[in-house]
Amino acid sequence: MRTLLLAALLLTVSAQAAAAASDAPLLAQAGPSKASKPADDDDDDAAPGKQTPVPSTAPAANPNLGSVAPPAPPANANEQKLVSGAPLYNPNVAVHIVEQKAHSDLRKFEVVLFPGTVQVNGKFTQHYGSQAEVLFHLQENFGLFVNGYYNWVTMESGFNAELIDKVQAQAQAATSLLNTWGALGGVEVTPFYGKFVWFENSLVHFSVVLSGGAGIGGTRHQLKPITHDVNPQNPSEVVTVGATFGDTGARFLGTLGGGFRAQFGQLVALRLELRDVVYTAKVDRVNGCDSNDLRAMRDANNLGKSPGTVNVSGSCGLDQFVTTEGGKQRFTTDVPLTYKLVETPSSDVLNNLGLYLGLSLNF
Amino acid sequence: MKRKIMNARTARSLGCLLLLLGARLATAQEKQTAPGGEDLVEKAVVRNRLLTLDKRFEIGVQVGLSLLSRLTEHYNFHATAAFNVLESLGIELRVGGAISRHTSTADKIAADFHKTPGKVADDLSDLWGMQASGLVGLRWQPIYGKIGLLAEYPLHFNFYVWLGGGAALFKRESVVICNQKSGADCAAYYTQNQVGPVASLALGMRFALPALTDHHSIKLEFRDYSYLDSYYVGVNRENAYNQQNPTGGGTLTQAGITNLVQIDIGYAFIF
Repeated sequence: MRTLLLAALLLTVSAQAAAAASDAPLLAQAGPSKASKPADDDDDDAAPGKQTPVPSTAPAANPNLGSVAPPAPPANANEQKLVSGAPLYNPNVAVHIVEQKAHSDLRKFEVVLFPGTVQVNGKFTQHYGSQAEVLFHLQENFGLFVNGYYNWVTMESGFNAELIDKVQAQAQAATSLLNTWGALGGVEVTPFYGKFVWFENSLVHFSVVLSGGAGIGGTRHQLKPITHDVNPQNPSEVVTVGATFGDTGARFLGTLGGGFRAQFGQLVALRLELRDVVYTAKVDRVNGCDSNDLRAMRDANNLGKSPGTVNVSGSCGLDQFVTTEGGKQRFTTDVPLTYKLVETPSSDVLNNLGLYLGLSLNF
Repeated sequence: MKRKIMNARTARSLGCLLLLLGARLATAQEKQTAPGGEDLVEKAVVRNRLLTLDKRFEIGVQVGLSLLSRLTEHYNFHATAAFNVLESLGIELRVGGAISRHTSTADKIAADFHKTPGKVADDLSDLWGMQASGLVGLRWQPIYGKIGLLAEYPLHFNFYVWLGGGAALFKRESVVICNQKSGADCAAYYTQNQVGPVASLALGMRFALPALTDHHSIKLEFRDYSYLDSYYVGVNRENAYNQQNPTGGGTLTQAGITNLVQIDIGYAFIF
């Protein structure tokens, strides 16, 4: 009988121990279910400020079990333990997807310099420029920006030049409008953040950034391309004559963009983005002169009249089409080219899609 | 009389039960420390990788669309087979066909130019279209990462650079050399076919979701195909109507390299 009682007692103890054993995986299940699947259990932590204490569900050590009890969580339930650099209240419970952002952006300014921007969809035009931007991170994932850019090189593409040269065709004036500068303001959101590793060594935290905004920018149109002519007085010399451009005024701009921002330390980040600057283009005036002004100039030029005798509208910058040779003023060869551009007004919506690689400072 | 607390039989029973109990507790302790303790403090920078490619085969399909179409537009369809010799290096074979054709810009240029009176013409560059191709390349994939989607859902990715080459079948249809008139229009333009070398460079990302297991992945890449360009210059347009002289006495000019840039979207099954 005593043996039976003893056996019953030990079976009870055994059952308790078994319960403790089966509690071990259940501990992990106390968090999100991912924790019970190490293969899918992606480490890591929440965004700054989002981390919440995970109630410890580990059972108190069973006095009956003595030294064979499972490892206990920190004695103080409010005490965190570093797990892979992440402070967790219960190291047995992995509750987040990606490690905590190393550096918070909240209420920080970010100054970004894009030293080189390159248009990547240049069918009839090509732009190369630089851009500076200031961001204020109103929230961790939301910021406001203002930026300004200047395109150092704006020209019609080689493809357009080939069409003119070989088949006497070219893009409509509005389709090949060039964007020289712009000032934009808008918002930036960072809906996703993540991390990547270069081989097995260094961890980089990055954000996916999406931006949108509006602003204003300047436009111009190429009137005459760069030419390389043989000097008639010295046939061995090639004379390069620069391209000429006509101002086509300011336009409203819209922008949409997306890319990556990789943080290196607290201060520095690298940005790689694709941004689309959208603007409507209607070419009916060049240097403020409409088709009537330019027709009058062309006719006067054909008749050999002096530019001073031509009546043009008040907005027309006639001086832009006049050159002086030997003390005598005459119209430049841009006049007939410009008249052809505005003779039939054209309009288009242009997308200047550019690749932006920049460096930013956060403070 | 001193009572015996336990007899030999009881002691044996107790011993067996303690052994059994000890064994079960040892198991319990292992289970506890496996997900916890030292195992949680991993040395890997990115833990719990889903995309482990070392020594694994994969097959897939990819579709490519032209990013910038000037005179030709392409839709590429490729089947791929790859073997990852290392975690960060794979070798890939790509075979497929393509639909290539003139853009509306090219068609308009051809139609308008045919009505112009010029006697001698030079053809335009970058008119070769790829019809089919076979390439072998190395894929270097040194970057592995994760993105948290919708706060808690992990999207695993790796970033790779692909470099390789092969051969392709090309077709070119002129926009200025007309071989057959049809009233005021041109019924047939001069057409060439040839097989030539092609080189390719791609930057891409492979994405995987834990919910889809480690066998399935989606690939997104920017791919450049580079191949030799050539066209005829000094073509006598009238002479080109003669079937015996379809190039109009023009001279074939090697005109550098055509770059066809595409965005490729694909799926790969990893064995």
